[in-house]
Amino acid sequence: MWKYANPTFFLTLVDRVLPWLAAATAALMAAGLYMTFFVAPADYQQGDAVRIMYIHVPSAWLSMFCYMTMAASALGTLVWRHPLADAAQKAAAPLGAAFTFVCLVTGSLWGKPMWGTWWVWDARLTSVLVLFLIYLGLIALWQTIEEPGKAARAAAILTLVGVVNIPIIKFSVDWWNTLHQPASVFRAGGPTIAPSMLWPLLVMALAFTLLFISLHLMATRNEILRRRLHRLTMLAANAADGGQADLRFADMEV
Amino acid sequence: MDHAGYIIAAFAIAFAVVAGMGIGIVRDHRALTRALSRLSETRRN
Amino acid sequence: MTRALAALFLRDLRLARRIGGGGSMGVVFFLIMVTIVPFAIGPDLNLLGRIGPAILWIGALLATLLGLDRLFQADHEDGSLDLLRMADTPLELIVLVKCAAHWTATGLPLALAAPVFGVMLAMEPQALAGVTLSLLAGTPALTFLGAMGAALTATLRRGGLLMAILVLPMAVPVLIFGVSAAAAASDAVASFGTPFMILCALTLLSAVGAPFAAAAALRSLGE
Repeated sequence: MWKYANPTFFLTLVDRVLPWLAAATAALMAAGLYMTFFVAPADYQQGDAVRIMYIHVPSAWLSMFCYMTMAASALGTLVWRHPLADAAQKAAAPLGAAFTFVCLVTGSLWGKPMWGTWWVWDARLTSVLVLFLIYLGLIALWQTIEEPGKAARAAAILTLVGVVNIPIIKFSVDWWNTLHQPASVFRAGGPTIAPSMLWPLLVMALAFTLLFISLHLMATRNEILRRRLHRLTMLAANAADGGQADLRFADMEV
Repeated sequence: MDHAGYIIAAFAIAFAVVAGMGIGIVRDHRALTRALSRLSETRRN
Repeated sequence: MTRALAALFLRDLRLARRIGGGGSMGVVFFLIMVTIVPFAIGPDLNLLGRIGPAILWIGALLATLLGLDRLFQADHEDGSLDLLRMADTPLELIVLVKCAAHWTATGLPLALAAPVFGVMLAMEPQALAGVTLSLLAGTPALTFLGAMGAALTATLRRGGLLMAILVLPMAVPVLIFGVSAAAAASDAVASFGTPFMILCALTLLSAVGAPFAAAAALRSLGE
């Protein structure tokens, strides 16, 4: 397992896997979009607006999946202090924020024709909004702490605190929502979804997941390269002025 | 298609955001590899 | 070890009193918050009485957070944080004691001042009792959550705003149950017990969890 965690090995692995992954993503995305617009039927209540579901639900799923990826990497950072885990964690935060944003915006655009309003303080919308805020906080933390190792550990701690707290937030927002039952007509997401709608949804979800994995691998590769560049610049500066430069980052195994 | 405007807007925004991320990452990668190769050249000289 | 912790508790209380960043300033900020809201929404006493618990809770939340960014930062700047980190006493316990001292200096005065300010918002006696009880039970949770944020941003030069961004989303459950309990106190239908019990549970949970997170953050940032 450690062989795969070696950053140099990881870079060659990414270079080899990425073209295939990108091709699979493109093919699935094309198939999913085709099914969304030409195969899936219009809902008998919602009409064609239900097609927004095929990007809304996959991005909602990814907003969770990305957080789980980040939490797993956070464990890697704190337990094994692995630079690859640091890079994976840093790469995941903006992606998670982007997909959560897409989830919120598409939900809003779906809500306007269906509920007649851009935003309701519905339990699900509200907890996704809080998740979005947590992502933004993590990104701000990454940007504020300069030293990469320290930033990674701080972000890891916050991410793991979030793992404990997000279910609590979800529960309390649900409780709050039943307390102030809004007048909206949002039914509790029916599990009885017709197969003709389920298949396009599954294809789109898979396409989005592959898209996230490709983007995440690329962004992780960038972070590794950025650290390497940082270290080499330090070493070069050190060689230039005869060993006086700050060598704090130089011993980092990257 | 009813509500076409909303559907088009939702798909356009979603893909614009994702494409923006993708382009940003690819650009970042180009800049990083270029900087790394430049650094190794100056080292060799 | 107990004596060292007691000494730390007293030291933090004394510092809070002398520097003035503690209790009095928090209460003044709280008062200003309560004063500003009627200017924004108008002096309608019925409306103010209805949203009074919410105003008091938001005021307490912000007042607690604003004072917290110095919790570890001041110790980091004068070097005593390094001493605390290297001490035999577990860092988790030190964090817990510092939180307790901070709460005694800021959270407790806030909760005690709440009924006075509630009268200005035309709240009923029952609602006043409810909001005071819920603040007494809930503000420790805010302090613990804030301590975690303060530990993460202790070494940063301008950590205050970042700390608020990190902590406020995490404080949503405390706010929900705090306001619910406070509002339920004056409501004949809603039960006060359920949200209040959950609020107590949140405080206990954060008292157990936050010291570990904050101590881990202080250790890793200090390396």
